[in-house]
Amino acid sequence: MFGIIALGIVNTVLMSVLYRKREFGLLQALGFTPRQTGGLIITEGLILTFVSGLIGITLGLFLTWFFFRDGLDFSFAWDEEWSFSGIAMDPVFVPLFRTTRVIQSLVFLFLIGVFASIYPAYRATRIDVAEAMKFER
Amino acid sequence: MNVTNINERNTAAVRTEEVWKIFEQEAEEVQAVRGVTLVIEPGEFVAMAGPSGSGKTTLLNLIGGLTRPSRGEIWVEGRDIAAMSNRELARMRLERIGFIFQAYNLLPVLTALENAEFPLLLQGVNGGERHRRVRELFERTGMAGLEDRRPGKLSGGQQQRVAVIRAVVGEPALVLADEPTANLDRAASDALLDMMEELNRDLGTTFVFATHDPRVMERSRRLIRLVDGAIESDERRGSEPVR
Ligand SMILES: Nc1ncnc2c1ncn2[C@@H]1O[C@H](COP(=O)(O)OP(=O)(O)OP(=O)(O)O)[C@@H](O)[C@H]1O
Ligand SMILES: [Mg+2]
Repeated sequence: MFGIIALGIVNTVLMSVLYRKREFGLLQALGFTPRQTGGLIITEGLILTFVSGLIGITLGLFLTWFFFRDGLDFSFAWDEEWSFSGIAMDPVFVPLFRTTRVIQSLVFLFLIGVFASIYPAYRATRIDVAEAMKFER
Repeated sequence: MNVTNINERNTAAVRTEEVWKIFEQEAEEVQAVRGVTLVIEPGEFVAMAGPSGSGKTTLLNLIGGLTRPSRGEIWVEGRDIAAMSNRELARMRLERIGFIFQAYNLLPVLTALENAEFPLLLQGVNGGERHRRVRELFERTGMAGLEDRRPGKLSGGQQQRVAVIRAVVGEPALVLADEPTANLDRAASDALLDMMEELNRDLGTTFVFATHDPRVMERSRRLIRLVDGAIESDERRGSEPVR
């Protein structure tokens, strides 16, 4: 799962690096070091994952709240007292919300953001400025 | 080597010694610059002309440290740029060199003023001082009132003016301009040249052009002609701008 997310982000960030080659070339002509250019891309990757992560979590919380605020009531299907392997279960399922879980996802997102941006950032540090700034007729 | 030469090397804005640049293409190699030796003094207004492919852009990029020479030596303000790390080269570009390209000079998301002050921002100059210096240049160059426009809302000539302001705002030793007028009509080219001439005169900034534009050649005070990567002729025309 995280692998798939990471691949998507590598792709997005890399495309933006290649697409904006001229912009990064210009920054280096103006005096950005290769390292600063790489840092800029990692920062962008982080912001990208973080903002989309925040949107995702907010959306998730909202949907959870909207649909499941009273829990999912399965009592129409089961008898009031329903037991499974001898353990009595409440037919109303309440979604579990734990802050630690949300923070965990955010940390994961942060890590993905960093790792997925490393390769595109490396590519950006290797941009040939002279070639990037060439005027195409 | 005699004493004058050593002295020259230390004070010249640019000095190159037998510089070669050879690009290795798949099978063949391209000799873009072939043994160029030249000295550019502080305050010069020089044009490098020559047919397409004669090595003008490559030579400018070599001087600006964007491309490393295959052979030979280059000093900028007496500093040997072959001995510099990429980081030091970046620092030299930030503090001592201004670049102007033919097009796409400006960052589209920034306003004219933000583009122009960018080098000062990187140099860590504080906001008040940045605005003061940039606004002064906007006034001086007839660009006042356009500070808050984004590049998309400026004419080609105005965009090039912003690029010139950005190139000189950090008070560099050297401005390297690669065909700065190539995308402009006659009036805009003349206006841009007026502006650069004035900055050259008033601030003493050294300008080096690569150009096909006869107007730039006419108005430069020194004309270097390149053919096949080598200097064919190099003539000065007095100390006053030719009008
Ligand atoms: N990155 C590169 N790889 C291979 N060959 C190159 C590269 N850059 C330039 N050349 C070659 O070097 C030679 C000189 O090119 P350069 O761009 O310096 O010429 P120019 O005088 O600026 O030409 P123009 O007037 O068309 O801008 C040309 O033959 C060009 O094809
Ligand atoms: Mg060229």
